Amino acid sequence: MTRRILGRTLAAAAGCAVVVASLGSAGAAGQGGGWSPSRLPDGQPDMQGHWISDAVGAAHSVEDGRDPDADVIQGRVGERNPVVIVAPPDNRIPYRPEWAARREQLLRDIFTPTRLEHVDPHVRALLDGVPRNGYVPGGMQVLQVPGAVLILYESNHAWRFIPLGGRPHAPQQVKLFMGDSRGRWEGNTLVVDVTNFNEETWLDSHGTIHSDALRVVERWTLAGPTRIEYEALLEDPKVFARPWKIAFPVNRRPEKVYEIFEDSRWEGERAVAPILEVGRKDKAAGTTGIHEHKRQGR
Amino acid sequence: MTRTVLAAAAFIVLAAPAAAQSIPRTADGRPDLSGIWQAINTAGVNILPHHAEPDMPAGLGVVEGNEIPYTPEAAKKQRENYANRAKLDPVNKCFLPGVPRVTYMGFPFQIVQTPNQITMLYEYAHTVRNVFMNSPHPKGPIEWWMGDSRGRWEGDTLVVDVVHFNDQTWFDRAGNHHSEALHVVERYTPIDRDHLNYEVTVEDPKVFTRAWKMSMPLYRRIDRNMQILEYECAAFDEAFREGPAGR
Repeated sequence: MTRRILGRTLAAAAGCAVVVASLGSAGAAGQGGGWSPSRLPDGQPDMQGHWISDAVGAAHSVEDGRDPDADVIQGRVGERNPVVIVAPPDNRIPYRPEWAARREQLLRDIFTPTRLEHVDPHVRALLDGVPRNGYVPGGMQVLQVPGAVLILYESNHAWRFIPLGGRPHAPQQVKLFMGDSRGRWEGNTLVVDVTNFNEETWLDSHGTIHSDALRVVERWTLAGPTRIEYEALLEDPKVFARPWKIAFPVNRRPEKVYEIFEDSRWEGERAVAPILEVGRKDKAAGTTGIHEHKRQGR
Repeated sequence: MTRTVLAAAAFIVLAAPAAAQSIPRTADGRPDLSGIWQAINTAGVNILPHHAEPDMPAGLGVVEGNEIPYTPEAAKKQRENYANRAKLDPVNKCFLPGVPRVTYMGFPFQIVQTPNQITMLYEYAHTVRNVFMNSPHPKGPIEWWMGDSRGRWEGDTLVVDVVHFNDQTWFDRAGNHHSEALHVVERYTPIDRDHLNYEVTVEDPKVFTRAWKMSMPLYRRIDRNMQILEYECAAFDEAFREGPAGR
């Protein structure tokens, strides 16, 4: 059992290490007052380039960041582990009671997974969805063309084509892993309304589930030449008692030249079968447990 | 009657320049290939001429000369692939389909064009290709499912040079195959506003005795509110593997 947890944690840690290493010294550079982004010929503020989120740990748990137990194993105690939930003030997701119970059951099932739906969709090499694709390991490239913004994520070669200017969403019957994005510029802020989600994606590896009523409103604010302030409001009236919000900075990659490499996650997926094999064996042997964090001092 | 003839003549005179002008262009004067495109043929089934089989409609083929110049050994491998295609076709495992197969699988794709990078977004398995303009391929050896694409303009034709493939992808469901030495040159030429000519030159000295070509038109999807959706093949495949048929 310990071995299994360790193995998983190490995989997560490897991902985090990539993020940390890539952040370099970008930090809060360029936050001078009065800065304004250059404009593209069609008037859009220029957000193009390669970016990487400073949301260490959110890929593991939106509420808690990295697993503190894993930090002990990895010798990372005391390292930055920022909380990305900015509302409500207690930093907890306002799950309705029925969905809180469903997630708790899922956290038990994650401990002894016997079915595909007990395994993190990210591990299963499925699309991460929004906003998760923005804080899993790997950065993103933004391209802009007249009337649209394109986000190319490195992880799982995912992408989002975001039309600007009032085009209606796809019919509600169309459900999508990445949702259906429509954008508009409010000053230096790209506001993206994302709907049409399916129920297959999790918001982190912690079984943070949602329904197909999820609606995400993202705000990408160009705050300086090397920094975007990112914010996402998550509404799902079936699942959450009220909307909640995450926020984190997104920094420009320090490399002068960068090209996204092919991340063929599905083609290389070899983890799910052994995870289920061990989970089924444990379950059959009567093992039970729950994946949870000690929350001292939080 | 005279009036009719004159009207017809005027139409002809006007129509010719209108066709040339009807190719959209970017601010820097290049053809603007932006938009959603799709091949309408059965090359995804078999790039060579073929009669129908269950689930495989007939087609006239897209290969110049109706022949692929395999070495004898490679021809034998194609026959084995064909016989075992249900099991061996990498697309049946939802793997990235390679180039040029991704273009004519029967799904739409979108071209997003900027001066230095032309990105192609495919509905099948959220495949993406970044075509970097006027820049060299990285030094190999690299084996990518979709290869490494570098583009240049030759007049109004976008020429994309693709290398650094693996040997895992096929050209179609009929088991036509290649090695990691595959070199693909694609040529996208606007015919008019809503049609591109897509021509592909294929070289692979390990598998073919000479270079060969295929070509086909690509059609703009002019459907109202057209957008690329998702065919998240992996989700279907994992369900299949876990289901009764997969055990």
